[in-house]
Amino acid sequence: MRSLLLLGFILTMTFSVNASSDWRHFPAVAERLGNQSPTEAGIDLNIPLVIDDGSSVNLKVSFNGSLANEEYLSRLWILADKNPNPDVIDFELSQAIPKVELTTRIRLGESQTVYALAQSNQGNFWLTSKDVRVTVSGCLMGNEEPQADIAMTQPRVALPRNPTPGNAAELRTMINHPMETGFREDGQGGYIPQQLVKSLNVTQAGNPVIDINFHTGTSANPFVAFFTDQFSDLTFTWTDQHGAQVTETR
Amino acid sequence: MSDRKPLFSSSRRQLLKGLGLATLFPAISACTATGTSQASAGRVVVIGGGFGGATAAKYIKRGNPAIDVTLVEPNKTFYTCPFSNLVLAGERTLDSIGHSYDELSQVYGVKVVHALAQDIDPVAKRVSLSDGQTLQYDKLLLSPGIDMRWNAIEGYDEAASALAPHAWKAGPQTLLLRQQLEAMADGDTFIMSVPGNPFRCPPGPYERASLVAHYLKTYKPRSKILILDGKDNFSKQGLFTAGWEAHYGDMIEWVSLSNDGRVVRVDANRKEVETEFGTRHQAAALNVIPPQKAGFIADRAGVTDASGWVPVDPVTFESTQQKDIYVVGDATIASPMPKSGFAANAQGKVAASAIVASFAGISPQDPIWANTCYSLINPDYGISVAAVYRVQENQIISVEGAGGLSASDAPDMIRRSEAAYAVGWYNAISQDTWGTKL
Ligand SMILES: Cc1cc2nc3c(=O)[nH]c(=O)nc-3n(C[C@H](O)[C@H](O)[C@H](O)COP(=O)(O)OP(=O)(O)OC[C@H]3O[C@@H](n4cnc5c(N)ncnc54)[C@H](O)[C@@H]3O)c2cc1C
Repeated sequence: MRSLLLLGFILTMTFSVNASSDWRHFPAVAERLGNQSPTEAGIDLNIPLVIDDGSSVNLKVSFNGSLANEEYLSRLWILADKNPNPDVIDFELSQAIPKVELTTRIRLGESQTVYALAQSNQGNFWLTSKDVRVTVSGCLMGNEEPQADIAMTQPRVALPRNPTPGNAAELRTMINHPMETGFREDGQGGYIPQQLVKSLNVTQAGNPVIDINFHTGTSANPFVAFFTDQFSDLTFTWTDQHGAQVTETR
Repeated sequence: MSDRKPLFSSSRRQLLKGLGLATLFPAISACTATGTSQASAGRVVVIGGGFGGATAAKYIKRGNPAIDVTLVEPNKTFYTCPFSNLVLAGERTLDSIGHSYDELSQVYGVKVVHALAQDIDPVAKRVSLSDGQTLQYDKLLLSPGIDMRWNAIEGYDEAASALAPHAWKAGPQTLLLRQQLEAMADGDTFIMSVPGNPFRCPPGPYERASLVAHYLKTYKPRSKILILDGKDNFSKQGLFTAGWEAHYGDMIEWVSLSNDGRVVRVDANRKEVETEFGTRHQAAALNVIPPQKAGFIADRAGVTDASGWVPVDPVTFESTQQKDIYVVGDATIASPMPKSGFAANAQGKVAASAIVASFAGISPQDPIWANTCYSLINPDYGISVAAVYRVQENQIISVEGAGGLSASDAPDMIRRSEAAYAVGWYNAISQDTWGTKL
């Protein structure tokens, strides 16, 4: 009887551990934090909780935590604990980003917890997470898309419609590339080799605005939208894992 | 207003007679007026007389005729979305996809109230209607379908839908889009904007493109169809693409999300759309299928979550947020089951039997469902996807190895029989749901 009670207690305890404290067991988060503890407020992750198609999931992360004088967010990581590689996408931000609200499309192999971890230039951390369920909807069984050319094509940049310098507005970027993860079997006992776009670097008059690093958890045709208040003299450079580059200017 | 309602349905009265209790009638009715449900087998209010709601109302009555069932639905005739694409193509009349509530009221004894449910008090268990009535329930079942997310696409609100119809609820919107297709000149472009997941009827937009192409091929063969999509892949994609090529050559162009297919702005007056990366397209006929959410009454009942849809217990389809409110059909989060009429009908039966079981004090059975989505590439060329679903660890899962897609290399004869099965399916589900004899 007593041991039963105890068991009940342990079960209750395990179930009451919520998603946001699970990070202690998730090295991708725990190692970045070291012995620091994050603020679990002020950062918001917007992602559907039930996902019909894990190959392209809309994700928006925004920050409204309080920052000290001269403090700004300098790093932001999106991590997924059950993807074969937990790295989804990460950002190096500059002070030229007036408002942190980043939108992207990610890949989720199965139901799991998705984390957003942010760090300021002063070394403070913020963390949030969402448990998501990935299903494949019955009417969505499509055929596998044939793999396109592996080169980066069609770099796209959309400036806001009526931008006024000094007023933050959203800018969108995308490039076509299949983002082959290296985890797909080739049907002959091996794997289709990994082919990724590694990064997108955005500068304004030569100064860094945002650096974005893509990983296997980034969906095909990497898409990122972010807020800026600079709308001219912008250079966008995409680099693939072989060092090839594509550049656009605005 | 409940005092204007008859306190007992005729079946209730018959039951009392049968039990030899008819003489107690006045005494019991006095009790009932105070609001206890003890004296009746239970009161159910069903909101929405579409695939989910009409089915549930009928099957509750079939399960136990002594349960008092009121169905609230503003329309006297329900026009189905299934086969409305044939109306767009001029292959069917709107009348031929209309269904009445006569069988539900006359054969099954469902009280049908033609009004809109405006608000729900889940604590007092009361529904207020547009005609001023208030209905009291023991169990409430919602199958309100979808509402459009107006302004999720800049410039696309309800007023814009009078110029650029969505036709994603059948009826006047279907006729409006049909008129626009008829008004097209040979060589004009028809544009359809398709949302990202989840939305009502995943293969629906592609069937629509097919049947509109069938019409244009016959009457305006130089015209084009442009599908601007918020997704990179879609239901039965391989089968659709092959069918389009075989029947319509290059008439249909599909622009995926990653080729800048997502529409972010609509100018309904000019029938112009703008995509994520600033490409503008102009149409002669413009069909905007906007992002969607559960019908508004689900919000009023407090059963939706942040996604705008309704989480439910998969065994009973009772809301996980409000006791005694059951929700079925497109409004729910039932993925991997699709938002289809077939699924809504099946879920309606599951919720009906859970409600009947609950009044009887017994526990519901674990459900198992099948779903088949037929799509027509032309009126004689059908394709399908089928699946079987059950509950595992309190979640709906798709049973592996069951169901599947039409073969990609099937001969025309098979496509022709699938088109005939689609008609058979339509007739059977219409009869099951509304009792329409076809
Ligand atoms: C073009 C197209 C083609 C389709 N083809 C197919 C197909 O081939 N096969 C298939 O299985 N599915 C198909 N579907 C999907 C199908 O139409 C839906 O999945 C189905 O209608 C969902 O049923 P429901 O009961 O959830 O909602 P609905 O059938 O839409 O019923 C909702 C009802 O609730 C009523 N209502 C809403 N709010 C209130 C309120 N507040 N008070 C009172 N009443 C209210 C509405 O008037 C409506 O009658 C298609 C859809 C489209 C758009």
